[in-house]
Amino acid sequence: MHVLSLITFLPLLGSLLIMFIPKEQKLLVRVFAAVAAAAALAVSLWLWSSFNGTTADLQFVEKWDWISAFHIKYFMAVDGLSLPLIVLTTLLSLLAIIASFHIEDRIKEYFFFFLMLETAMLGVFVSLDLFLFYVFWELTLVPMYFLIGIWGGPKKEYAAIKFFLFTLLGSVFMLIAFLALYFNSNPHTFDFTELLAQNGVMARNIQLWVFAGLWCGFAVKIPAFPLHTWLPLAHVEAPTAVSVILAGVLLKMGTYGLMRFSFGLLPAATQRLAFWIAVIAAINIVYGSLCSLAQTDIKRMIAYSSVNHMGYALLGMASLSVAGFNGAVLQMVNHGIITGTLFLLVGVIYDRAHTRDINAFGGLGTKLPVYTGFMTFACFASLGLPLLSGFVSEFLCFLGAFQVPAFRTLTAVSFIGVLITAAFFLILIKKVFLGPFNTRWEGLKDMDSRELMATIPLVILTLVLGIFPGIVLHPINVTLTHIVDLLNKVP
Amino acid sequence: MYLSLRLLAPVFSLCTFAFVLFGVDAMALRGTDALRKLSFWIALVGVVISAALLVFPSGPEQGPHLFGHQMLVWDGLSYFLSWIAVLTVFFVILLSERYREFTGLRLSAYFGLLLLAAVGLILLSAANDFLMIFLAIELIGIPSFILTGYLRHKEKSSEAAIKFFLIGAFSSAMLAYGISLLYGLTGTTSLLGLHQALPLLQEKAPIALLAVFFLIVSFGFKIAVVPFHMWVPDAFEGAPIPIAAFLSVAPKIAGAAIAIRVFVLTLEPSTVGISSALAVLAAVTMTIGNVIGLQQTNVIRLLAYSSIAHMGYLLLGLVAATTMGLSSVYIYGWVYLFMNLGTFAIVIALSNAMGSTEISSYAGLARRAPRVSALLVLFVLSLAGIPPTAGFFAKFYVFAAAFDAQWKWLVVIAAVNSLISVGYYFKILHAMYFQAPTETSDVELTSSSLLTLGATSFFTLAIGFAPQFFLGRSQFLAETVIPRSSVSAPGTPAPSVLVPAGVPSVPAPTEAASEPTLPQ
Repeated sequence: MHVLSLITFLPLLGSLLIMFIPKEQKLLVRVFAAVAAAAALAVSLWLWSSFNGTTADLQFVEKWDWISAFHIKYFMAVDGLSLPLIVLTTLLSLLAIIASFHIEDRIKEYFFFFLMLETAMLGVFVSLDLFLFYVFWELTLVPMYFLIGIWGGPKKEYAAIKFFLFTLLGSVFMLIAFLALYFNSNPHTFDFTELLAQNGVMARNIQLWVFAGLWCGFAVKIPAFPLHTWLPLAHVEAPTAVSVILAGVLLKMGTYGLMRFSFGLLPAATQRLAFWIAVIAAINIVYGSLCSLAQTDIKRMIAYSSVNHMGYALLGMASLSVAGFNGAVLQMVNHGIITGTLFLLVGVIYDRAHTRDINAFGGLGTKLPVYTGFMTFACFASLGLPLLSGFVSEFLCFLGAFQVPAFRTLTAVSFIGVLITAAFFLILIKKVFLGPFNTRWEGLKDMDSRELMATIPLVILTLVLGIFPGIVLHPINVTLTHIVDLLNKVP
Repeated sequence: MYLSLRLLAPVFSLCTFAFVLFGVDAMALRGTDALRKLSFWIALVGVVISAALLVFPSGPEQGPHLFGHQMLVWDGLSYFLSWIAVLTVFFVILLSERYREFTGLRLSAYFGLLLLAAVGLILLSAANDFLMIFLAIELIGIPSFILTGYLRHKEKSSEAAIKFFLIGAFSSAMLAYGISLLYGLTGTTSLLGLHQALPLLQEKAPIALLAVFFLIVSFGFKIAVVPFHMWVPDAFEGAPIPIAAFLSVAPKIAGAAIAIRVFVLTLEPSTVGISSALAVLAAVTMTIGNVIGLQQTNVIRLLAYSSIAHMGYLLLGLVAATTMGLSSVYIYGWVYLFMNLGTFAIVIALSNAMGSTEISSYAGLARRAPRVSALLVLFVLSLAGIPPTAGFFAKFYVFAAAFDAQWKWLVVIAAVNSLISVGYYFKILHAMYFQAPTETSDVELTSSSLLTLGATSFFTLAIGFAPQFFLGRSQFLAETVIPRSSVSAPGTPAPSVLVPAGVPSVPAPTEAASEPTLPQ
């Protein structure tokens, strides 16, 4: 049963088949893309239901020789760390595809690139051979480049190449770090489990160098200060559905890679550098929220809030504790869902008003009740209101970080970020939805069924995960505990 | 005797067809379509027959051979370069058919010269003596000069040919200097003799270094490493584009191959600091190539700088100078051939259709010709080294080889360079996909360019997805080079291993090998 290959390549198959549909059949193209994504989602839900959450072992393993001269394998498997991210990817991809049904321009190419992107993202989360991982990692860049550059906003071309170059800058150093891992292992291997078994073989200063190389690759994606500058531009210029994927899934590739490969394979270096990672996390949290506060463009504001929210995840990870790790992975999922919703909703208003200037609106609450309801809900979820999902994960991250004596001050400083986050979201709600109605927007219509279809599942999930975070935490806990144990076993 | 004939069969066949073509050229009065067609078919059949002769009797499986009074050697390196030569010429012939600027010209001599250049390439690949190296280089060079200037009525073409010729003559002079210094030191022009005289070279270090310097300069012109690269953009721009395609692949890889033969296999690279010199050249070459590439607005000039940069990456394998390094050079050579000729095939087709090679003329091509654009995306991604294309794997392989040989700083520079190169490669994608089209007509492909595109794109994908087959092959070829330490007498197969870099080799055991060979 090659269920992981199936999930990964179903979207690709869909994207190839789309090329054979005549371009006049727009509806068929859209439906076909949605079907391909839905199929991947269905298989990933099956994967979730048959996943055994009581063991930290790799499950659904597929392993074949690929390039035997380098001992490179086609090696896919899931554990508690990758499982929630796989489901998050297939879910957000489907919803983003539904949300892009209104695209008229070059739709065959659009869905081709979109589904190819989905395959690449899924590949990143299921690959456990470093070479295969790198191939998928790089493969995400190409469709994203075209998606931003063709269908994006006014500065799309610059945003596309900046995104590409920034990520590539990180990943070439990551590739060198992978080579270093390969040549420092004995026997030479790119296989994650074999490298894990050889843990402790590598000298600490080699570990530190390799860690630095991997950090370049992952930090760009997270994005960790000071490598975050591509993010606001790319998020703002990308079309709505692509922003959803960028914020919802692509950023998680960074934290996932860091936890899986940097933390897993370089325990000594991780322990040595944990404090500095926490410092960067704190900068992300405070600086990201301050940047958000300064924005007048709603989309830009949410883009910077991603910097802030990924800072929470990073802080939780840096604590190297079970609570922190659980919080971090849950935060990845929650941020994907909540920020995905926010970007979808910003797209809704931009499609109608053709502006995202926060000061241009006012009093929309009376005119667009449904939209206002969803947007307010998503903002509250994002600022961490209890009972909504964002609260649980942020709490766990802080809990983990606070347990580490050295992080006390940093954690305390980070709380300022939470405060500022609340401030800018409340300002956003006040300026856009409350106050006197701006008559310029007399003709605005409320959300249509396509937009509701894309948004409602995410809103329900936000609520459900806020009340029952165990749905995600249960299957991931054992794996994460195992990773923490491995880390703390090293002298 | 029989063996040498058998091994030289491709050379004889190529020569025969070349002279048939010259004969046709001499008879013909005017360049008619029928004549062009005839010459095209003669040339194509000639290359295919030579390729068949290359496959059947003379694979390197029977072990390395020395033949032709030890002037020639047949081993993995020769086999590799011969194939590069034959395939390049095959594709270039296909691309020359119905090339826009050739209308009204007699092409018989053109094809004949291409075949002669292939002969030169094969002889260079097999050269085991400096005199043979010199002859072979001239045999590649002179047809190349003429072919560059083949468009007699185009001023730029003649200008390019003159520049190219002057530079070529200069580099030949350098080579002659180098050879004469080495001959003065060791009393031999044979590579085997030179290998045995290594201790002597180390003793006479200053003069030996000077000789090596001249050799590096001369081969540097062939490979077009910076600072010996100035001829490349001008020659490419002036020459007919199929010839630019030819120059971008075969002579450059041939330069790298002969550098392997002389620097890696004959002189041990670490003994006189050749590796360090090559490493610096590689770093400078790719950096300058890529940085200047950023400013280009013409696709041909862009590809010229890209080809310079690619030779920089390829040199990584040479610098590593291990079996893995050699093998990575082979893979890089193959991959570069396919992806670069694929790119040129599209550039030629577009030039035929639109009459321009400016990047700006590619605006909106994705809507006019979606299939051609998609193929160009594939080749450009491969050139930029983005997975899962072959270009990525080739780059990965040379990086790994250099990393393994402890040239870590060089790998970092190369990695940053592949980042810079994205800056200009993606200009092409930018124009094709992000800009609005100025025209709406589709681009038609001739059947010969379809064949070229089919083959090159197939390999660009296949080596990316399933490199194991090609890897196994190239590793085998890398191990089957004539090891200077255990040379076999002609005809007897010998198991062979490459002398690892830095390990002093045992002097050659056979009587025949130690005897310097002079021209009769």
